[in-house]
Amino acid sequence: MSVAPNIDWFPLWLSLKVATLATAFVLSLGTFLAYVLSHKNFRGKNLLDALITLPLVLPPTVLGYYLLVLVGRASPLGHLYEATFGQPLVFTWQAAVVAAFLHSAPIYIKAARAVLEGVDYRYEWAAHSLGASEWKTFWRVTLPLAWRGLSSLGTLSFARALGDFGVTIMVAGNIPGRTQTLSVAIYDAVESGNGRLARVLVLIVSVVALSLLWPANFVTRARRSGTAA
Amino acid sequence: MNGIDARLLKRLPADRNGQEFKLDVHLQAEPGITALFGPSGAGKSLTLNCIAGFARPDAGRILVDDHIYFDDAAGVHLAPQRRRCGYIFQDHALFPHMTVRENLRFAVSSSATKGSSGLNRRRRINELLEAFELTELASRKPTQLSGGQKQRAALARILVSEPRVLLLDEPTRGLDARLRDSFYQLLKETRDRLRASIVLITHDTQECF
Repeated sequence: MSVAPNIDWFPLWLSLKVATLATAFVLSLGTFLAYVLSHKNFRGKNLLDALITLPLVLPPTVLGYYLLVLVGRASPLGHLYEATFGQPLVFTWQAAVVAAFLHSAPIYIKAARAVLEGVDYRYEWAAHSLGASEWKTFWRVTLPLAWRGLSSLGTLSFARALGDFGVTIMVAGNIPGRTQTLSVAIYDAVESGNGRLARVLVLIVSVVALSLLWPANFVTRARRSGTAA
Repeated sequence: MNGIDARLLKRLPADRNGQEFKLDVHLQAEPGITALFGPSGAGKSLTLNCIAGFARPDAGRILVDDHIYFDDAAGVHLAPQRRRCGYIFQDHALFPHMTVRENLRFAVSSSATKGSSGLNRRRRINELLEAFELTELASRKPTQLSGGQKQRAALARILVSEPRVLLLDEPTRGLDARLRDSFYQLLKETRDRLRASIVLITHDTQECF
């Protein structure tokens, strides 16, 4: 790259990889939780909702601390992970995926719940009365009708997953070439007085985020005018 | 006994005005068309919802063609999927992202007849499209249909799933006289074809026949 020679592009690729994986988890697990919250009544629903919202309000350091305790090498979960994958979770890039997931899942789940609640229940009732199972109704009726909203939320989730800093540095650390994501690399560049590197990376993050948000906006607007028609 | 025999008791919690609602109804409907009419808020829709399984009564028993759908004493509450109630909603609730044919295909692949071969299913769909004059419109989405065409498509979708009873919640609300007449003509034909109980909610005593 002539514009920015001697720049290590690893943080960019790592961030894209981490955000992609985190978004995949957000879309699958998050949509499932949003469906449960929007369509089911059960004991402890408000508690589950509060637990899902918690990462939004807790300081990243607190979240990171919980994660270190929960999946650290001394914990049962950490042991299980290590036994399964042959390496500990903390201070690896995989831990950055968990951090990015925690950063973007709460907002996705809250908004996806509203999108799924917005699907006219009569379509779902019609499907049920025709004999379709709940599973089939979800895949063939609810999800296609909610798809536009959910996919633009997915784009926002990806953008948000790119941006985690606090939890990432707590559980994945700042190991150049291994766990150093874009936002961590920016922090590192500023701390070490490398202003030029910081400026380039900041510009990249901003351009990527803008290029994700812009089309996502179009999708939501198309959806609104589609409903009005 | 053929038809519907439903005794329902359901209390709804007090609303904002502190009004508690209590539904206490005994509905019997033989094969043929039965009209439920009365003022708004009398519990007509709730009655249909209880029969279809969308709402659960607090007490009572619902029998349809001698099948027990609900019995609080025996702890029976059949899922809507297993009741074979053809439900027509006010705006028909045709799936907007599917064509007319796909709507019917969804119904036939979900229904009790889903065990039949693909050829039989296709034949059944084609028969119903033909009978309801929808063959030319089969590849259209619901938004590209007129009010009358939507009615026909909704009825065809219900019939392809071979329901035991038809439940219709104000199917002609907001339609002009001409469409209303054609809908009732269609419903009479359906009654003759299906020989099932049809329960209809209406506000219009003129509609009862």
